[in-house]
Amino acid sequence: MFKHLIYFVIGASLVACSSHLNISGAKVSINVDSNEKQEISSFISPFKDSMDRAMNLILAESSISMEVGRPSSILGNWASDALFVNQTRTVKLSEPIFCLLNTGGLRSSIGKGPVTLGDIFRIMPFENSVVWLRMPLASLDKIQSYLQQSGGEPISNALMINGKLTVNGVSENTKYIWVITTDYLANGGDRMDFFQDAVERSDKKTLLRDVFIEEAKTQKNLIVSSENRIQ
Amino acid sequence: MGSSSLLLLNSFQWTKQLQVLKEKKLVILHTNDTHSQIDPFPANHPKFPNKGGVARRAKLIDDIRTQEEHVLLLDSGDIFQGTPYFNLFHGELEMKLMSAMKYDAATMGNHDFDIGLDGFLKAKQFANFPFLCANYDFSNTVLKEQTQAYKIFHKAGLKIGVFGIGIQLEGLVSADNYGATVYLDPIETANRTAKELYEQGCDFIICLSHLGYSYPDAKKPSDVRLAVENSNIDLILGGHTHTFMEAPSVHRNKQDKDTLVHQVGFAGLFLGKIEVSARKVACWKHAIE
Repeated sequence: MFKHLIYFVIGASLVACSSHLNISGAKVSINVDSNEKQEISSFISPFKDSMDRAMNLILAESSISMEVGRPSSILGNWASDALFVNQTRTVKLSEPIFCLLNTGGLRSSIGKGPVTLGDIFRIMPFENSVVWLRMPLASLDKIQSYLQQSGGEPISNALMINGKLTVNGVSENTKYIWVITTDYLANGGDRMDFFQDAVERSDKKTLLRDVFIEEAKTQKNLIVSSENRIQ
Repeated sequence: MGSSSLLLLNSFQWTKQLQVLKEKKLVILHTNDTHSQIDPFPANHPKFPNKGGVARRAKLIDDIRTQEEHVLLLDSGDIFQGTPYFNLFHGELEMKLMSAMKYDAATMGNHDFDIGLDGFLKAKQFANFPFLCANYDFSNTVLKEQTQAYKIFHKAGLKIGVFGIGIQLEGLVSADNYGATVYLDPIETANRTAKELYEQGCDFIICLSHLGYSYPDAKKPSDVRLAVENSNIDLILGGHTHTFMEAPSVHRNKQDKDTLVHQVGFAGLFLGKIEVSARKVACWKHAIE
């Protein structure tokens, strides 16, 4: 009996010297069935009213729901086309021009129905401005590799078919092309290091978001392209 | 047999033994990448119609706090950017709401640099919780002494060390916005900080990470890489990659112990809930003293 007791005490001391942690985890969904904390709703309310007054302005209509994704997407096409049309409307250059944006830079979706100023702020919340870069034609190879590696970014006035990037208007005489993008990307954001090859740079003072707002207003019904631009 | 052995102890020791044997539960609630999503998503949102919302999250947190005695509420960064609330109020509302929900700590994500260090500092004055950043050296910036590497909490009879690890800013954030911030190696800094917390006697060590869950390039620092290459971290609460996880993933670390990783998508669609049952038994030498 005493011998057994000794074993028990030794056993207890061994268990005792280690702390024992059991960990389990889950996520709790927050949805329409969740109640609101009234103090918080009331606190948000004046901020919301002020935001709504500014943001509920209807700019246009969308006939479909537009999302962003890779390799190309309806929202990516809309955004890059809007930038291209807006920037080239009154500009005529002998050298080819195309637009390149980043998939990660379009932060939300546009639902079917009215498109508000708030929707545009949600897809483009950043204070990024428009930049034109004149690049040697050879840099297109680097852009092509980048698009292959990343899986696709929004482009306009260009197509990538079977991994080969083609910009409209490029001929055998072409030495330079212009890329319209944002200051964030031109400065090396998202590792678009090929922009370092630029021989000329023109920083427009226009915000990309303001371009989207202007074009949405002009289009009234958003012009949708479901073309697969990156293949 | 068990009861007869307890009879050998006097009554004082017996009570003490029972007390320490009592099981306590720590509940860790967490969010990441809330991205200024104050309101629920609109009813016509293609992916998340009528989901999320801070007022609902606040109620859920309150309800859990009513049921549970020991709660920690943490955030893994990217509090800023994503709705016009941020464009109009520059982070003030996000900080005030997190303070009202009684967050215990947060770390900085890359988007928390979007209005520059000055902008972050202005918003931070509305936060009553600390920002934990172990691998951003802000010494030569306006954020000097505004953040701390870690904080130790005492809950559920446990000493809990919490620290923050951020992502490489170069190439991700405009250089103007992070200024003279010096980036320190995330894996090395995490291991050094966790070791320090361990040596200070922490029973449970949590890393708030904005590195991202994992990447095709296995060399890129990520939560999964940190989980395998650390020695003292029990739990990594991640962000950045907006990864929706059903439950924490479990990894074997360098000490051949478990390191768990969890992340709950983005925009406050979910609240992460980790339960730690602490059955900490005093050592034998304590039991008989």
